[in-house]
Amino acid sequence: MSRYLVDKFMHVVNMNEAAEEAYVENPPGFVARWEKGERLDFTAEERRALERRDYGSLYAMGAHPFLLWSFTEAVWRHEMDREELVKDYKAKAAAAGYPDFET
Amino acid sequence: MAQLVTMLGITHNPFMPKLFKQAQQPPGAAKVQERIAMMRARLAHHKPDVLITIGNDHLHQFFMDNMPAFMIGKMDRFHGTFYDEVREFGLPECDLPGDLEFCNRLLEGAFERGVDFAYSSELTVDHSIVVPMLFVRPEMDIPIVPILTNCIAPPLPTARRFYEVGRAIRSVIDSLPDGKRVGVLVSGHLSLEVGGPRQFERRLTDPDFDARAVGWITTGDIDAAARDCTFEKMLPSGNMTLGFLNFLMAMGVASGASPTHAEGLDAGFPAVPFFAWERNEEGAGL
Repeated sequence: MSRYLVDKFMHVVNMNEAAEEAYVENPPGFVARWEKGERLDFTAEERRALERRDYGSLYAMGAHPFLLWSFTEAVWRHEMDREELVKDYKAKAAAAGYPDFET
Repeated sequence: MAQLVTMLGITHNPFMPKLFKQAQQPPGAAKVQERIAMMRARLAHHKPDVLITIGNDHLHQFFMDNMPAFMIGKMDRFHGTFYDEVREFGLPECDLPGDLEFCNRLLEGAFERGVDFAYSSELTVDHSIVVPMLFVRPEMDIPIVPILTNCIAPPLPTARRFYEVGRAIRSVIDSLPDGKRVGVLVSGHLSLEVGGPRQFERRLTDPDFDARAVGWITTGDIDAAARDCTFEKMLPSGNMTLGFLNFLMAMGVASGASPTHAEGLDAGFPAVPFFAWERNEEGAGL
């Protein structure tokens, strides 16, 4: 069930400017606050990846790829050049191949 | 009797509207814009009173807590686009008139034909409908009846089901007593990857799939399409190639009519789909 929760988290951050800003400002704090309001739980690995905005790990765990790219662009765009980000994202995705992303 | 006068199939590449406004454009952009202008002229020529717009939601209105296979918007106005699409693609917020009575008739007519659409009375449409409208009817003055599909969150309905839903839509259109001229605007992809190792490449993602897909549309070969358009078989052609399924719904709406235009344009992007079906002066075609 937690793959679904990762997608839900990305969806919330991606579609809401206030959530996006709060998450980027303090990822571990935002993740903890948000998870407390949910009935489902992240695995330790998922929580760690979200705390680090670690798109490579999220991809490998089967986060929804369409959502993941948009989320990644949203939460890194102020700190990374877009071309660099695309390049690094693709390299990390290539290393993981095509993980199952069904929830 | 309502009459289906034209059906267009087109890309909903969300980067293109902004790209086409920039001073510096990649090679091939002019070719894409030329085709879009041609599609815009075709739509204007057929003067539809209402436009059924078919596209796949991209985890905006739809989500996996409550995932419909197919949904009809049931409103007299529809808001277009979401915060993330304004941020990432620079899409404009828009306001599209809806034809609520037509929405209701289509929904009820589909129920009678064994297609149980979900419906929404608070629907915001994303780039799968906004981008085609910006391309072929930027005035946004023709009332729409939006149909959204799930091409993104597996498990998906089968390819054949997309086709059958299209057939049911056509059957409802043909049975409506008013004299409305009905247009259908369908958006989708050929081979495409987003969020995977092959995203944002300025070339065809899988030319072999693209050629086969255009062939199925040209010949109306739903059996061959259904055989090859399973989730497992489409994934290697690009993780979002699933968006082609919308064009199988179009094939169902066409109900055996041949397209007047069918192409996967190779213009330095993933293949750009352009399909058209039209009723000619003699009433033949669609």
